[in-house]
Amino acid sequence: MKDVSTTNSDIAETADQFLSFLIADEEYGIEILKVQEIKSWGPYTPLPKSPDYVLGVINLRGAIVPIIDLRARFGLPTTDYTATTAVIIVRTGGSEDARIIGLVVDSVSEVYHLSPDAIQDASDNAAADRANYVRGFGQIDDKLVILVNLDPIITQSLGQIQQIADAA
Amino acid sequence: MDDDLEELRHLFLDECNENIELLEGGLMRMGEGEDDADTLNEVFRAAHSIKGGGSTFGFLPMAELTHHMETLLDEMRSGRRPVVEKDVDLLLLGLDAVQEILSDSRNEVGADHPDRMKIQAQLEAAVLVDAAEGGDEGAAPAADGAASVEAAPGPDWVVSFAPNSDFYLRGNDALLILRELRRLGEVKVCVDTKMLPEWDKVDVNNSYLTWQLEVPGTVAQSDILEVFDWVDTECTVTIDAMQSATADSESAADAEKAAEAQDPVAPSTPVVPAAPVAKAAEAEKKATKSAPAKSGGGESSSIRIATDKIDQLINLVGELVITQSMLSRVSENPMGIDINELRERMADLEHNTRDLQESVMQVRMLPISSAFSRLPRLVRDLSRKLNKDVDLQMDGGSTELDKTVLERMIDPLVHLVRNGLDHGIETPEERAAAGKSGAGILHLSARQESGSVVIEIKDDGKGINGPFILGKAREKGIVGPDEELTEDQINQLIFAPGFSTAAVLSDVSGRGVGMDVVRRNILDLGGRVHVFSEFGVGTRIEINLPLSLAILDGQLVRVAGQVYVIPILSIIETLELAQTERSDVPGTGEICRFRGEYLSMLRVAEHFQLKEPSSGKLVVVVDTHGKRIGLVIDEVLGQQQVVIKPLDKNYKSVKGLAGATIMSDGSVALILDPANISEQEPEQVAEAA
Repeated sequence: MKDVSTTNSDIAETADQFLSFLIADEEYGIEILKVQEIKSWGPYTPLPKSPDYVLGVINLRGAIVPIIDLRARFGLPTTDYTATTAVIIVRTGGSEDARIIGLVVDSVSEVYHLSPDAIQDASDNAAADRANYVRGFGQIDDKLVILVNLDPIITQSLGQIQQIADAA
Repeated sequence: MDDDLEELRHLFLDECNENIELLEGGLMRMGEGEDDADTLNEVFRAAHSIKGGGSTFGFLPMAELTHHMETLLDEMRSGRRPVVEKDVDLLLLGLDAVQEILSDSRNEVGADHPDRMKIQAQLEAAVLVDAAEGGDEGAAPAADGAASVEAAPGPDWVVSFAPNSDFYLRGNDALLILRELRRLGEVKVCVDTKMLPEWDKVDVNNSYLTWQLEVPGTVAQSDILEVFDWVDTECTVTIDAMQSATADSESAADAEKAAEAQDPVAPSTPVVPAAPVAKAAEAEKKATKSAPAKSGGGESSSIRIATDKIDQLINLVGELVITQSMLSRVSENPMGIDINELRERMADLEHNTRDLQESVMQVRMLPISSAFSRLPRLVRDLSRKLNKDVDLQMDGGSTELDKTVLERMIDPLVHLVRNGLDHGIETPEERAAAGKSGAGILHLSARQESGSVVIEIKDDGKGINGPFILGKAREKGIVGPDEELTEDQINQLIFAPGFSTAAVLSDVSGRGVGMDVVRRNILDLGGRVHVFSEFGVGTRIEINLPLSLAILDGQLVRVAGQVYVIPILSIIETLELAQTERSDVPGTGEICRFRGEYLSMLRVAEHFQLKEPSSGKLVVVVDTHGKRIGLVIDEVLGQQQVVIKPLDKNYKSVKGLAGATIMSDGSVALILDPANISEQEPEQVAEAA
């Protein structure tokens, strides 16, 4: 995944590709360029003194990577982790504050091509709380895919953690 | 382009720090009467490099100041004036100013020092005064000539300039130099083409021409020399006054002879200065060539590595490659894998990997002498200020420490030495009254003890007056009126925040902030500090530091099914919970009695809100900021060296955790940080989030 080749046409082609995953039977999509790899669910080390959606940390080839349970992050009831549970490793932030974070999802679904006009902007019709996380809705045939804005999810998670640290 | 310049500037700043260290060390030795040619040359060279670099990179005030220092140093170096303490003091003062300018200019070019003009004037005065009264008569005009441009015009200068054959290859340009000379005044140029071969034999990269230049006497010789500042290793330059100059043969040796011959004969003519300066330039040339690159320990983010360390790394990587190819041969054997050979090769691999790890760690290691080296100056200045006689002894300077640890230890060391001098060692009168030798001894030593480095600061001063300290602490409310402390605890009180016993506040010590910071710094590095003292006999402070910040010796423990790592350096003892005397104190929590003192307990499983059941059978007593606490855990596992990985790289740092590490089975284990684990975190916030 790291070796996504960087010719211009490739970027143009991958820029409108989205990886979709399922949480509570709802299909969500994230930009494929942010995805570094997909790992199967495995043991992790719980991290004390962190919000409950931060499950803990895992070892990703020597790097300590936190994993966030998106179910808990979205305020949905948690379920047991199954054989389809996957961890999507994403890269966020710029070159200076780059972070690698794992997102725990019920299952990984498909890769979609979505041209910009197939995406409906979410800014005016989503609930205020979620508006930040939802970038828009993608229409694929009859299906609706919720396109997720990754950066606010992660920076806000870290922000809350920061507040805890500051309060201490 | 800008980046290139920025990089060069960075290099210059690094180099400056190195030169400042050299200068300081050299001046200190000069102050102690060691004024041999080597020391003087080294000092002069360092000053010269700072000046040259300073003017190139736009630190003009600094360059000007160093120029004045250099003038004084040059006088000493050429033997025209004795090395006296007064001048050394003045030079040290100048050096301090340079250092301050530099630390300012890390951000800003052209920074100045408020006292610069004053110091410069003093330096100038020193040169003039001493030259007039003390130096030999012939030298007087020389000092003048070098010190100020407005010296009376002497006879014209004859400059011979002969570039080495690779002059142009090194990126120099003779034309630029000639133009630069022209700027000083009307210059007569005469080119010598004798060396020029026939046209078809000319190598365009070679230099064949030499020049004879006549520069008017109104130009100071130092200004002419300055033109050649940057090329003086790549060409031969002699400067002579008109009379003594002969038309062609103008080697430095000749100039010297001429000067020696003239010295006694013509004491009042300003002809003489030519020779010593030219000689100095010559000496410098030699010196620059032979000057070894010394590795220094500035606070910059770059590091200089001895070539042999790198060679060793390359060697080990070579071995690793060989082992790897052997392993793949074993695995590709069509007759099946020979298990014995495989084991053997795996053992080799393990060996190689461990060696490689050790060597890589070595790259970050620097000798502690680079931190020690700034102490003699401190002791000298302080002992003078306090009217004390102190003999500073240091050993174990070659003990190596991680660069980061070393850098962060400098301030605490300075502070401890300061403190020892101020509070520990008595004045000569007091010492005489106590039957001690006049000079107090301050002994600094460093040594490696298994996984840690021990630094010891020992003085034979008055020691810690236990009852007095305790009284003071009670007075300040640091210790409760009924609290009984052991002797050891009383000694540790000197590190308590807000504690100072100095009767009078001085700018040396006595504000009671320093020692607290010292302990905090050491603890932050994962180290420990301990005080031993005998009243009337002396004090010994022992600092235990980890060898490296990247790797730590860890004790693995299990709590509620999770493996945690506790740094061994902070562990005092491990006990069984059942054998301790415990009681619950409302508001304080659980405490237990440990060797006569009360420890507060921290149940790790509860503190971390771990869900699995925890048996909590053992107590690990750890040292945190001088206070001890008991961590309740389930089981003690093995000891292991672990590589510390920061949590905040992809997440945030978490209170009570120093980081994480990866165990041999690939799982992640968290490293506890005893220094701040007990700092209470409001749990409500965590729940609210």
